[in-house]
Amino acid sequence: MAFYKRQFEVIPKGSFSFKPKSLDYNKSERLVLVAGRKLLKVLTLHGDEFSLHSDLLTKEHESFNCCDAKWSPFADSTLATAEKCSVLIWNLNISQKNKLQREFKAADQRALNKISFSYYKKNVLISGSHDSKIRGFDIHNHKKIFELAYTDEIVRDIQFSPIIENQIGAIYEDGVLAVWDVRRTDQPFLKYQAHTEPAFCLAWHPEQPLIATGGRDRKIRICNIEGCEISCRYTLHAMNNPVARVAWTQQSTNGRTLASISCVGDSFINFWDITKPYSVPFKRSIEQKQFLVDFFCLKSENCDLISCSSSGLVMMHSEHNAVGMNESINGVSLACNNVGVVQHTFSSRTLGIMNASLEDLQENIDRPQWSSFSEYDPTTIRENSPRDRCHSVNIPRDVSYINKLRSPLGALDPLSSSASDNNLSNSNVQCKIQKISDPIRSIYARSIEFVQFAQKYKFSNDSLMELCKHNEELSNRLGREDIGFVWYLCQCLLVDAKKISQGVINLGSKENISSPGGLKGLGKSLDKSIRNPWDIGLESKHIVSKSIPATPHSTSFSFFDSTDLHEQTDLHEKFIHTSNLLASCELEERFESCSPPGRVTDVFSLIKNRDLAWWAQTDMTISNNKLSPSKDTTFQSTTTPKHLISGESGIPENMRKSKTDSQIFPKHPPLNFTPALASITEYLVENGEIQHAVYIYLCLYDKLGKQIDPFVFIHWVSSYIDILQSFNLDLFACKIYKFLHTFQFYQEIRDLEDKENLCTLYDWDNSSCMGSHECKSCEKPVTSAKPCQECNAWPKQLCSICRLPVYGLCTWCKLCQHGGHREHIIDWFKTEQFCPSGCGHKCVIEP
Amino acid sequence: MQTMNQDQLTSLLSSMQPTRNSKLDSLFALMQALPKAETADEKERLFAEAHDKFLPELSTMLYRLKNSNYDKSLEEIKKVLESKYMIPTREYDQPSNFFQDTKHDTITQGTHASDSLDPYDFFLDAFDMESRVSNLVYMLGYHPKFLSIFLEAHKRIMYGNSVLSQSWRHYIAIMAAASQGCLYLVTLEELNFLNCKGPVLWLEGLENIPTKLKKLQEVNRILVSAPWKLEKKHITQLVDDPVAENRWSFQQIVHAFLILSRYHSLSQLALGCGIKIESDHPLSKESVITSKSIWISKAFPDMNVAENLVANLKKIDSEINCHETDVEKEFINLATRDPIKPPPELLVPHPYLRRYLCEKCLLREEFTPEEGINDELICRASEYNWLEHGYTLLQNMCQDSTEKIVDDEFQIGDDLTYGKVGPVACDNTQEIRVGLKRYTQCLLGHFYEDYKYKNITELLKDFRLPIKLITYYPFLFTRADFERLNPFEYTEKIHINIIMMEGRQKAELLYALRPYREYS
Repeated sequence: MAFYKRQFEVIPKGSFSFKPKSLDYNKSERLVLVAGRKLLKVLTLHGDEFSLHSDLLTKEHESFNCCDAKWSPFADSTLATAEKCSVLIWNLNISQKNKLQREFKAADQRALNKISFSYYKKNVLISGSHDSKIRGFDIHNHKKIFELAYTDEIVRDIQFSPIIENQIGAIYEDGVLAVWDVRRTDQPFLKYQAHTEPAFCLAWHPEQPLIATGGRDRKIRICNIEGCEISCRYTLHAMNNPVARVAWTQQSTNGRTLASISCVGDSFINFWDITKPYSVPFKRSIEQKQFLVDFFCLKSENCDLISCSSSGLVMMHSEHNAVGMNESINGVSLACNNVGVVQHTFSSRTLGIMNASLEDLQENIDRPQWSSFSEYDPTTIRENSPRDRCHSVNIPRDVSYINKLRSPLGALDPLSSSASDNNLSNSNVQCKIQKISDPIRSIYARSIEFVQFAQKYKFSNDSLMELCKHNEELSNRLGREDIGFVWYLCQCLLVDAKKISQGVINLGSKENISSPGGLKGLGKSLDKSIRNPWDIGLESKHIVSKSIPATPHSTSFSFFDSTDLHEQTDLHEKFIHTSNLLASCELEERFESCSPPGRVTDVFSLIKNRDLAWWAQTDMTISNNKLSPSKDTTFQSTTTPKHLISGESGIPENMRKSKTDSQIFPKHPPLNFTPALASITEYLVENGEIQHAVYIYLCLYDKLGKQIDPFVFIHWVSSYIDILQSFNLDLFACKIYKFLHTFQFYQEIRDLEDKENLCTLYDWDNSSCMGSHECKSCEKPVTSAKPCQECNAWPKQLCSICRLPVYGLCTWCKLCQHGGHREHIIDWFKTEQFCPSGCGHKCVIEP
Repeated sequence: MQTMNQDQLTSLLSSMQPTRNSKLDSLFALMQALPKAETADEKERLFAEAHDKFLPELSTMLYRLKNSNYDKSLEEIKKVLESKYMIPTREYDQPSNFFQDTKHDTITQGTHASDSLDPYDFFLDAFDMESRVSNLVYMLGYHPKFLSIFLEAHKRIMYGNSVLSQSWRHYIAIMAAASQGCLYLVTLEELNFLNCKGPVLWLEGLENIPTKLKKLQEVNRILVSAPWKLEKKHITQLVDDPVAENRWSFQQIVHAFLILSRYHSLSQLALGCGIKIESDHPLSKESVITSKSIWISKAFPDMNVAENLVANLKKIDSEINCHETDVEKEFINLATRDPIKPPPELLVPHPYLRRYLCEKCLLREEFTPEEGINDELICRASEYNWLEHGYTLLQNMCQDSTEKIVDDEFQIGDDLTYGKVGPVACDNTQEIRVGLKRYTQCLLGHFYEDYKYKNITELLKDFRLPIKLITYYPFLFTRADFERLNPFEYTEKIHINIIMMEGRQKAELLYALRPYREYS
């Protein structure tokens, strides 16, 4: 699209000895000056067209090579050029061919870099040179009015301030921005280290006390001068290339737009909105073939700019016609998240091509079927896609993001804001989630499930039995009966084994227990009752009620129904029941029916078909720990003495006479679930369900702790905390982390880590406010906010706002580890809620 | 037969610093295998292998690395091997043919008078990197401050992360050194090439290398003989190719150019200081051929050069308001004065190098801008310089902040000073150093508008010819020339060579990167 209006070639094609270096504009007469090596031409601007006004070089100026040229703001036909050590004044009104009016020396030995006219005083010109001095001259009598110098660095750019009479802004090669007052020549009025690498350009805002500077470190800094203070107000990250020239555009009356060009790498004019300091300029001019040398902005209605490229092409652009970056972004992208779901975004114009090749893709991808994308109506998922060009199928894993989208489950989405705990037990929801066999939806459901568990699991502040019960109920409610069963086994762990061995289980005589047929009947009713607790099939509407630990008076054990029974006894019964049933592998069918198809992990599948030997494992630890066989005597103590086994004389009196009494007695020695639980947790971890394993260990570390190497456990916990943080569930992660502190072995591990410079759990040490753990200068691990031991350098943290190293008062968010200078962060959080570094975290500022 | 038992050896090996170089690793693997050898035959075989591979070097390693952690371990190994073989204790080996190194004791024992830095640590770094302390590194030990940054840059460029594989990098270095006629660097890089498991067949000649690498030879030739002639079309030729395998990516090109320019300048340094070939290369046993000096035949000997130099310096310093000289004219004058034009029979390369060269003779062009200052071949600092353009390009193209290290190397090379000229103390030697550098760059066609080229004509009038010789024809620089660079001591002569090397590297690198701009 023809966005540039007119262009003009100032150099004959194919000639390399002419090189433009500088452009300037004379407002009143609409003259454009192009100057450079062997080049000094003046162009007229009529409306949109350029035409050559005059070529000022004559035969006398064979070796003309100027680095900067400027029009005088007062005398319309006067211009100055800087060449080597001298300044040449030209006057267009001179009738002779040689328009050079006068020439004077502006520097002693070193070459000049830049010149600038004063806006207030007629005929005053300043020059900045390689010898680090800024000299002011009267161009009429060639006298030096003042000389400003404070350093040895080369002056790269200078400019008089357009709003304050005696102020000069200068930028030096070491990146220092100095604002001078001409009345004081030994020290600049204000100094600021704007850039860490050489800085190249400077521009005063036409109306406000703002200076924009650009440099090799690819940043544009906008500094604000308030009275006697200078501070960096905004920082723009100018993509990949150093900034060679910077200028405020016409629209900058409200102080917002800046334009810049770079000397190498690209040939655009980039427009920036200074309040949006992101890496992408919000607009760009069209790309020219050669890189740009200089440009300036006209103060016109159309926001025009004129640029000159290195091949001598002077071109007029309009900011209005500049192309927004997002319009030219390639409309195809692909991303994959940690669950393995692929997000694919493409613009509608590529859709046609995509449809044709979808079939090919389908064969090659064995993960979520591409055809399932077509089940989604893309517009419902991304309603706010700009210009309806992006169709993306996005399986969100972030909780808050889920709330914003309309999920495939619609109003029944358990995570939508209208849902509450009550809804969760709504069987419809459960069924729906259960029925999800489509792989994408199942993964979606898994994310929800994960979040639910994370939010609702309990692991502290209660008795162990209560915790296990709560977690069991939760698991069953959320449709994970296998996990519920695992928690049930945990409860069984807590059963006082001694009591079993002593045969506490004494049902006594209960009316409703006696059933026809005596023992046989008991057996039958046992069978019947067994059916029920495991019968939580998909058809059933009453999911909650049928699970075992729901109430001690469940119908499953109706013939145990007695208010006299202590709860513990109940559990003993259940324990023995379960032992018997598991050991005799009678629950296979039940396990089958409880495992929904398509679920990747299922504990039932692990424990099904396990024989007595598996359940009765000795307490050798399963992990790599070199602990000696555990001395856990749980099993040994529950090795029932012979007298308990039926048929032998060892049965105590009160039990022995019980043939008709309904007594529960173990058919086998009551099983010790400790090693089995350890295997189960390992199985869970290996199959990606680390969450449950972690909570099991957190609750029951005392019991199960010996089954696992503490380092492995910490590793699991760290991974889980990582996952929680990636889901933005930092609060829960912190809770777990805090809880870990109570563990006995924890301190030992911490000491070991410190000694060996490991970093497993150190990341969340709340005692340090550091953003990273390595010294930035020598890259050795740093233990806390102290100077690095190796190189004695203070750890340099960069402020998230101004990107400069932080010395002194700073504030850091402990959760997302981002922060910076105190004033900046406080200012930021006056109006914003999210972390300035862009990590998406909602940092909380304490008053 | 004295053998070490397993535990001793394990403890010995574990006490070593971790090292990547394959030579030490294989030596230790061998030593580890020794006690495990069951039969006497196997032991014999292992010993024989140790003898062939390591014995000649063991004593060098020991000599160069005294007082280090490696030292004790190597001593132990030596004792084991001594039980079977006679290990010659090496006499101190001079690093160079041009001068007698009398300071070696101070270096190897880790004290150096004029600098607080210990070159010893850097020798260890170099040993880690290349499994030897090469003569070049040893010689740079006289300037430890420079050596540190030099080794870092070397490590980053030759052994760091890059798009080019290590064997390729070493081969490109061989090509670069061969085109400069530097036998030392060619042999050194051959050894490194074999260390990196490069294909041995490549070392037999250019016909065995892949086509992609062969295409670089043209650019190599231009860069070394007339770098100002490098144009966009040469890069296009590398990038465009009908066969996909032969195409160079831009990152690869930039890295290759970096290596080429680096090794061209290193060869200049090596030839300017006359470094001896490494002792484990078969070529080291040949005697050194000395040729007639060109310089001596053209000029008269002059005494009191140092005092003259310092006096000239003071003269320049005092001229604050010197007359406005036409910088450009001075530049052209300087560049085109006194062409050397050596006889063609001297330009024939060493027979060993012929396999790496396409052409029969090492032609050079001396920079002669035909159109005066407006000649387009001149590279102007205001239009293309390291600070703005070169640095940024390297930053975009190379990994791991290579540009920063190269920049540091230039910086430190510029700032290196010892406060004296020969026997005469001098506060500010900057003019001399900058002059040397600018002259080297001027001879290659780099024009710094800001610099007063008249200084060079005044300051360095006695040295113009040898500098020109080293810049254009370093392989013709002889021992006699080296000795004639009075009154500098040999360490200072090395310093001069370093300055010239850095000057050349910057100029060549900028020439190599300049055409790239048109691709942006």
